[in-house]
Amino acid sequence: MKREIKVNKGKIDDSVYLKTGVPGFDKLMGNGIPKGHTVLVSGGAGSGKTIFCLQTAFYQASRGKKCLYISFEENESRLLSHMRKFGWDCDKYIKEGTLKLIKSSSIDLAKRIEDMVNQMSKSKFLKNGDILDLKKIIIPQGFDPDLIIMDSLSSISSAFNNSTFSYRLYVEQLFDLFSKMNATSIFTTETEQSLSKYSRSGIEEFLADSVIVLYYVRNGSVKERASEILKVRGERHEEKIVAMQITESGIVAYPEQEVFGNIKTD
Amino acid sequence: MMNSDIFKKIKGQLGKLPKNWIVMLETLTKNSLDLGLESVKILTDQGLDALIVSASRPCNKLLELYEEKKIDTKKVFIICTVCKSQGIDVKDTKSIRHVRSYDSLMEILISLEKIKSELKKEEGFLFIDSISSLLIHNDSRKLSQFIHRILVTIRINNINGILISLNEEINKEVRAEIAQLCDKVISV
Repeated sequence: MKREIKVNKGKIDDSVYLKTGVPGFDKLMGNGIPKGHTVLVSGGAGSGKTIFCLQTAFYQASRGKKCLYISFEENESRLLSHMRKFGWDCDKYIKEGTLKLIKSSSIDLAKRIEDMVNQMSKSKFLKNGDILDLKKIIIPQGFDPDLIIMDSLSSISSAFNNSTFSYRLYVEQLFDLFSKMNATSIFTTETEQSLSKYSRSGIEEFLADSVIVLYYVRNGSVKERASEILKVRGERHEEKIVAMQITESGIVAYPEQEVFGNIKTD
Repeated sequence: MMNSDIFKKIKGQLGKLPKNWIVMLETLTKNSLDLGLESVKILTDQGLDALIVSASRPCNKLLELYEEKKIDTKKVFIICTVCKSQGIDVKDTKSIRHVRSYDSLMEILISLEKIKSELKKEEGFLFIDSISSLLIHNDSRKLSQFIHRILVTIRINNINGILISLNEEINKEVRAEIAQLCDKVISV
């Protein structure tokens, strides 16, 4: 399916961009995340992917947008605890119904998808264009999100045993589903603390409209956080690796502070 | 104690600087403390806010020395690289920011970005005490990159700058690189 990308032609239109609520970050992407984009947030352990996503979900929920956060790693109470530590009043938006946090099992999900794929291939119906009915197993009934976050694709990838085909089909159709729903989606993927690998299978970064990379790397005796925008389809974006911090009130990016020195990945 | 000739020289030199200056002060180890205190005293007395990057002394000790010297500490903002490096449990205040380590140079730049909005006067000066101390914990290339970045930042923000450098301890190449970024080198 062809996706329409609204290219910014000078004037910033807030209805076209989704702001992350991370100070300094949207400037790196041009004006924020183009609405409807599928975004991959890639990074090593401890690089801040989950906090980045929770901060974006919280910020959008506080602006009245419906946000669905699906975690395959942490349950709702742990996610809530992370958010409360930063002073984000997430309970308010959960009560109001703009923020929904769900813990899902990647093994169950992978099994259901593999069963679907097997069923389709047994009936010899599986060919390009066949659709897995993902919506009913992923999106809570009656909830029509503006923003969907899945944390992380790596957990799902691991749960697919050896079936790379099923995983690729799943990712492709998942991206397509969210696009048809007119939702902006953010997926996290855990990588090594490497500066050249952005996802496990490689298909995620190829299919995603935008790729954000978060770093947590050694520079001298200290570890430093940084972020980089690898691509934003249809938009101009900053091409440098800039400093980032996790402060008491959440993540802050410093677009003017390009990382320097001999950065080493662990 | 610094002799009166040096005191007169520094007072004369710092008193006739043009707007938006960056100066490298070269001195001997034995003079560095007095020269640093004297420079901060002269400039704060001129009404400038002082933004100190301290790599030689912890911030509380530095503030004590400033008070003894009758420097108006309300005009002093400190980015302290020492306390946390020594494992001291400290919290940031409006006028004092702590970075994790002597080699957390990126954090110093971020702290500078945060603290410069606290400067009351339009004109202030950044005082790096000292390049030689920072050079103990950072490789020369990284430190040169840092100094270049910080000097560009203060120039863009119309902040003046003084960098203390100890004659005996500084690597010649680093000295040459940094000196060419300054408007003036004062040797005392």
